Amino acid sequence: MIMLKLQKVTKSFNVGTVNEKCVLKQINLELNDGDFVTVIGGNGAGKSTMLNMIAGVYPMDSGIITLDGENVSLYPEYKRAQLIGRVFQDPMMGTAADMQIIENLAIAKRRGKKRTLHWGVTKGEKDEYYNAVKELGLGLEERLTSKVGLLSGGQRQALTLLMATLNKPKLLLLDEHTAALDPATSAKVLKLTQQIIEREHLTALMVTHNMKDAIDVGNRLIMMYDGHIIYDVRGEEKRNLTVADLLKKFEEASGEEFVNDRMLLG
Amino acid sequence: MGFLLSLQGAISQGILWGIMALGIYLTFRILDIADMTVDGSFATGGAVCAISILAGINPILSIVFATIAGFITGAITGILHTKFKMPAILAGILTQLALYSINLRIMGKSNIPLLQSRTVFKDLAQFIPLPTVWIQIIVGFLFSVIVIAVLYWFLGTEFGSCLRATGNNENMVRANGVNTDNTKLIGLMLGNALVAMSGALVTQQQGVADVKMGVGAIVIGLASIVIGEVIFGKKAGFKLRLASIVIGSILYRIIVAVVLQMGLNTDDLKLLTALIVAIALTVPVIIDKRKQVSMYKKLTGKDLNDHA
Ligand SMILES: Nc1ncnc2c1ncn2[C@@H]1O[C@H](COP(=O)(O)OP(=O)(O)OP(=O)(O)O)[C@@H](O)[C@H]1O
Ligand SMILES: [Mg+2]
Repeated sequence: MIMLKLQKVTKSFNVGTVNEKCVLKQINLELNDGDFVTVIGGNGAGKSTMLNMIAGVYPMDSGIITLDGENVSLYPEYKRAQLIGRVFQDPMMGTAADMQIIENLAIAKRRGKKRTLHWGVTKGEKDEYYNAVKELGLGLEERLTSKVGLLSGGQRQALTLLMATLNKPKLLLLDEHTAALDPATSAKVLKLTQQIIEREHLTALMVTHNMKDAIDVGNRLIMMYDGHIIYDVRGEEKRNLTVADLLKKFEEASGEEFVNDRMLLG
Repeated sequence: MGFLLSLQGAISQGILWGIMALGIYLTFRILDIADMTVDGSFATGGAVCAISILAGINPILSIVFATIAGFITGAITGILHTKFKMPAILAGILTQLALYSINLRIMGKSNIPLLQSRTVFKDLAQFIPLPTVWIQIIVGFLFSVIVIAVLYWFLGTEFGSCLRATGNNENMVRANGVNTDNTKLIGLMLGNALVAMSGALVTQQQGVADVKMGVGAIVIGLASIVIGEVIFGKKAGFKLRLASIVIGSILYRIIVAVVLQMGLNTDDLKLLTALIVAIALTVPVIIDKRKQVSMYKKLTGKDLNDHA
């Protein structure tokens, strides 16, 4: 079953000025239910823009985006968010810092539901959140009434990840969500990501600059270059990839040498 | 003796204006929007209340009408800001400007005295054998308690949580499937409804509605909020924080009464208000900076000595 379908999705920025730039060029992409796709590509390749198009952050110029059979091309961001969970690169972006952990979770739990005048956090929810937060293994379950602003970046990313998946989304979008974390925390959050996606059988797109992660994680990998998807590999073939293979692919497709330190070292 | 009387007057004024400060708190602190509508909507509340009373409508019902008018003024600013993507400051200024003419239209003249008319306070004075100023304080107290209770409840609901989060991190709210245009719109409507309600109460208290009665209202509201914060701190529980705003409003009026008593010219009052807000906002910044520098000196000095 197809969960997400992009047909000829195109996006330019600064149209009509000298800075006009076509960032996504007629992108076609199909994700099956349960696909966990890693996305790689150099700076400015259009990875974030593709995710932003799917999430509806900016309107697209042309093309059709279908999510679980529903044409969402003209839906505003908040309406698509009822179906899509997101974790951002910036740990500050996914949570409300001045509100308690439990209040943040309660807002996320009601994704896709109408916000009523019932209590924002009910008694029964507390146990549920306690257990869900405990599974993150960060000890946050004893601090549910702490303000999120007191948490570290890694803790906030883990919390955002939980929030994005608390109410099972049709699609999970992760845009370099471990990039701002130190290596150990980054590995931990990536592990959590894998666990949650597997357990909930989620369909996900994960942008990363770490080629090794991109190969190790998920069942499919796509590489972007200059607004195109230049490589799309899955299953057995993906599992057998090496970083060297990816670099070679990039050079073949782009005719350039791969000169992104971040990607090599990541 | 004269001072005691003016102190009582300050308390009753402070309580009734405190409801306006609660409305400003909702937009300024919770939604993080500096809503300039309030200078206009405060007078709209007074204007609607005054003509309602002149038309023979019950004074309490007149307050209800004024509050509804306030909802509408907030909706105008809210729609300009959310649907038409105007910066919030500009949307508020435009509405405020338009309201000046609208308020004149509502009143038909720039000033409506209610000295011969019914007011909530005069009505109650017939049953309660207390000086008018005490009746004003009691009524103000009841209104404040009800408004604080309703705000406390509302901001704790599912929708209210999203409204609070909107002022904190809009992006997060949208990412969780909530239309932030709606939360902002409702917040601006509620805020201005409270401002207009306060305008109606103040009109009945002073026995006159004036088209200029709202000039500087936003700064007076901010003064009340920051005075409350200076005294009770920003960490106080939410009920206390709401109450601290009304208390801040009372203290503001007492400060004003004291300096007037000391011979300040009423013309200089607006300057004084601006100074109070400016000082209340700058003092915490200066204190923080000092703390940081002295901490640095202390720790660095110690560190250097350790290594010496
Ligand atoms: N809001 C915007 N306005 C103008 N240009 C933009 C905007 N967002 C992205 N771009 C441009 O679009 C191009 C693609 O950006 P995008 O963020 O999608 O790249 P990316 O693949 O995510 O790169 P990175 O690895 O650096 O995150 C870049 O040239 C960028 O400058
Ligand atoms: Mg990016």
